Amino acid sequence: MFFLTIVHDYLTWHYTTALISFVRIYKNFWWFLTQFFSLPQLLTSLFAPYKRMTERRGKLLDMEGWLEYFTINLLSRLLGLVARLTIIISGVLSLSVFSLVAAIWYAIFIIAPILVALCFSYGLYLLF
Amino acid sequence: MKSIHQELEHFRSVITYEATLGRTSLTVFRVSFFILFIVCTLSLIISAHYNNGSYDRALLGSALVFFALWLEQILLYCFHNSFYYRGFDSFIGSAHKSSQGITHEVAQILLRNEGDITSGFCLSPLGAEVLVRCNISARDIKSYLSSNRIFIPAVNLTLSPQSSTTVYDVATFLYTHDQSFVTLLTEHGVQHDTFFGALQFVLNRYISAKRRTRWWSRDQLSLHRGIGRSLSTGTAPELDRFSQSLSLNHDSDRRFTPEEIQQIQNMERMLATDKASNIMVIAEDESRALAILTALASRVVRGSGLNALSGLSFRILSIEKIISAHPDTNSLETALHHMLTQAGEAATQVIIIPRLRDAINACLAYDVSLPTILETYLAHPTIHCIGIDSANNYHAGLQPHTTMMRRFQQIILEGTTLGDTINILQPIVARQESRRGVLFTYDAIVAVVEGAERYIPQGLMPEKAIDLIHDIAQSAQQQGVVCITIPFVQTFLSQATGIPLGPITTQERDQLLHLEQILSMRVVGQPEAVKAIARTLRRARVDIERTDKPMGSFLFLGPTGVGKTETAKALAHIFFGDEQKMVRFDMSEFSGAHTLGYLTGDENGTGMLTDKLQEHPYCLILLDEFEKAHSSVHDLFLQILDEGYFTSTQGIKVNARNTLIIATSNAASDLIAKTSHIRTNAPHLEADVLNHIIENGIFKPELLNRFDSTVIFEPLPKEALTQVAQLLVNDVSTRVLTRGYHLTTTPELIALIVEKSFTERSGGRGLNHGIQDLIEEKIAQIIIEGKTPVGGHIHLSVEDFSPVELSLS
Repeated sequence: MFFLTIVHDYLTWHYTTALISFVRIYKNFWWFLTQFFSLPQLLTSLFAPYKRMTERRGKLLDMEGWLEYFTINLLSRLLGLVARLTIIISGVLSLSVFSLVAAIWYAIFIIAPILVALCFSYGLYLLF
Repeated sequence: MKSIHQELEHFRSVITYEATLGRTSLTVFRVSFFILFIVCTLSLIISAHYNNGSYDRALLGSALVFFALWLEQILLYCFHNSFYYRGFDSFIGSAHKSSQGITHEVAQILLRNEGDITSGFCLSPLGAEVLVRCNISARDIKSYLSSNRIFIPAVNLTLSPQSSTTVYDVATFLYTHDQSFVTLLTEHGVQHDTFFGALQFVLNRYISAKRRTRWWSRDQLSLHRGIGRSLSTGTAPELDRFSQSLSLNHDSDRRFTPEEIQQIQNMERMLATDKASNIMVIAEDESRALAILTALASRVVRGSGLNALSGLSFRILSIEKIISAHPDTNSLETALHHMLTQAGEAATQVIIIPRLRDAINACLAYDVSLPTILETYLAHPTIHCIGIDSANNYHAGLQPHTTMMRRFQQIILEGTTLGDTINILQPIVARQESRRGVLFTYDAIVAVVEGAERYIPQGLMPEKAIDLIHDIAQSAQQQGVVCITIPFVQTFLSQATGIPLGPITTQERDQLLHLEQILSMRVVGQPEAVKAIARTLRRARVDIERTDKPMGSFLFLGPTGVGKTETAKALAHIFFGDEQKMVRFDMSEFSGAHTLGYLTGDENGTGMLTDKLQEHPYCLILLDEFEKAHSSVHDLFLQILDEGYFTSTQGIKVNARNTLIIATSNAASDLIAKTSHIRTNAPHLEADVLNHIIENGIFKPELLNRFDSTVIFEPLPKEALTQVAQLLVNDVSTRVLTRGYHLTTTPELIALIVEKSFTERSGGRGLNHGIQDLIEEKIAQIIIEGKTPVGGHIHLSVEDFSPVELSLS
């Protein structure tokens, strides 16, 4: 009797509360990955100089100073872009892999009760 | 809203499973089936490769069975967790929307015995721990549960309509509805506050442990630091060199009071402002300020703080490091400018400067004005600075730098309350308990906090309470004590401080009950004074007096030589076990207006009273000839008698709550002498003596009222002096005995000394001179002449003295 009760309670939970809870946990991990890879900060400052390293502007008529200013700032921004893109791409890849794993798990979870029953009974059939 | 019955049905299968196999079995089965599944799969691969697949069928079958079991255990684990953490978010205050129903712990209690909530509570792991912390033994609980009482069924419990029904709600329900349960508690001396304090304490521990296991929750995930943030935010290598990051894991178990949470939110707003986003935290306890800043930094990292603060990095600056790297004016100034410029450009650094006043003074020693340098940068919105210092340092050393200080907004952290300190201590107690194998009852923890506050003058709360927890737990472990109760804490404190605390021993009980007789053995002819003192001391010992003032304070009034100083010595001996615990001040030395500084300190150094109280925090302070002190000194003692502490010129709060204060005075001694006989029959006339003192402006009435007792010492009659003389001669005998001689005297000789020494004005004081001149002088002569060998007997009578010797005395 207890076994039947627990199976009934479990199946009710499985197809109601659990499905919603997994969405909430998925959101938690999505939030964590975006924060871990600092995606909002890096996207909003994609073209900003690398670690804010910049050269001060030289005198108006000093061509050499202007050239130095342009070159260094351009390089700093390029370096910043590359470094940020590296982390952003890693972050996006992680999010994609995570989303894929989560989707697979979600799919497995939906059919899990049937999967357990099938694997178990087929396993026993093979054994005996 | 669901009914309690529906809620219980909902939990029934989970709780039944738990009761049968336990929650840990889920992990054991899950891991075991996974290992077996892997082993079978690997065997299948190996078999297919080497054995031409002869065992394939059996191995595949086994692998599928173990896979199914493993998957089933994962599902069961998820299922159990869903119930195990139900209502937890609302319990820890992080629920996005209010949840209703019961929590897992409540279901555990109610389903244990549906017909009797009290039994379920007492036998549940959580309830049992609460009762143990209330010092109620398992045997007493068992006998209570088997007694004849009214059972309250689980269905009687009403669910909270706004939030989850927690164990706290169940306990409140029991306390209000089950009279027998309340009787059990009161019979064991457990009052309402103790029970709910212990409950909260145990719940906090459960919450902490449970919180850490929920690794998928947002609050646990946010503990991991992100990467890549510094690419956009810029760096400040000079600041990094001379500072350390505010560790987010530091004191992660620390809990915060609602007021502290409010302060954290205020700080967030202050840091987010465009102008002067700098904060001056005024706190007596630096570690508390740092703990609050750590919480603020965690909110910023977790993303639960204001958006404007996103990406900020909190660093604790060490001025000492900068100075040791740049030990001359120019390079130090340049280094500070360089560091602050970089921090400004990075725009994400929050520079924390603990003990700001000391930092300023340290720079000043190298002719560098830190306030001048700081004020230039602090106006900039990209620089955030948080200074920390105590109120005294703030007023004395920081407020005068008005230009710099107007860039700061103030946050004042008030002292922690008893409940706050216990909350802070909870993880420390838990750690000590598991490390030492001991258990603190809740009242013992309260006693530790109160004892640390009252009897340990050095250090700040809650640090001194934390140290005391460590020391007591270690001592209990060494003595083989498992349950640490109030008497153990009091005995420990008593041994550490020398103040009699804790349970009254038989010997001490005799001493307290017969205090009058014991004092009378040393103080002759003052029965009324002795009675008044004994009454006050008994109150002090059983701790029913106010705790925020000295343990006892007396004003002894009376002429010279009536036993005032002797009484003080006797009290030091009785209360602190040693006459040396008496610190004497001759108050005639403090008659000038400038002399207050001698006691409390001045620009030249610390004061005498400050030094003595720091050296001997537990002592008897004797203020001889108190009336001769200046009125400003009287005012100082007015504060000490009222508050139990004073603040030295250096800004140190000096504790005098563990002292007995005795002030002696000859004021109104003529009136006392004249009215002595009348007052014996009409004690109310004592008021006349006090009125006389007030009318003559000797003491202010408010000062007289601050003393626990004003004791009038009557002039000694001649008969009493004979007793005093005998006591003094006994003292001489003891001293002579240490040199190897036995001394005896005749009563006639004593009578003669009294006769010759007695004057109305000097009372018993002349006796000392008489004994010195006659007896001590005679003994010296005998010893020097060698008439009596060592170990011999010296007998003195009137006949041993020549008329010349007698006339000299």
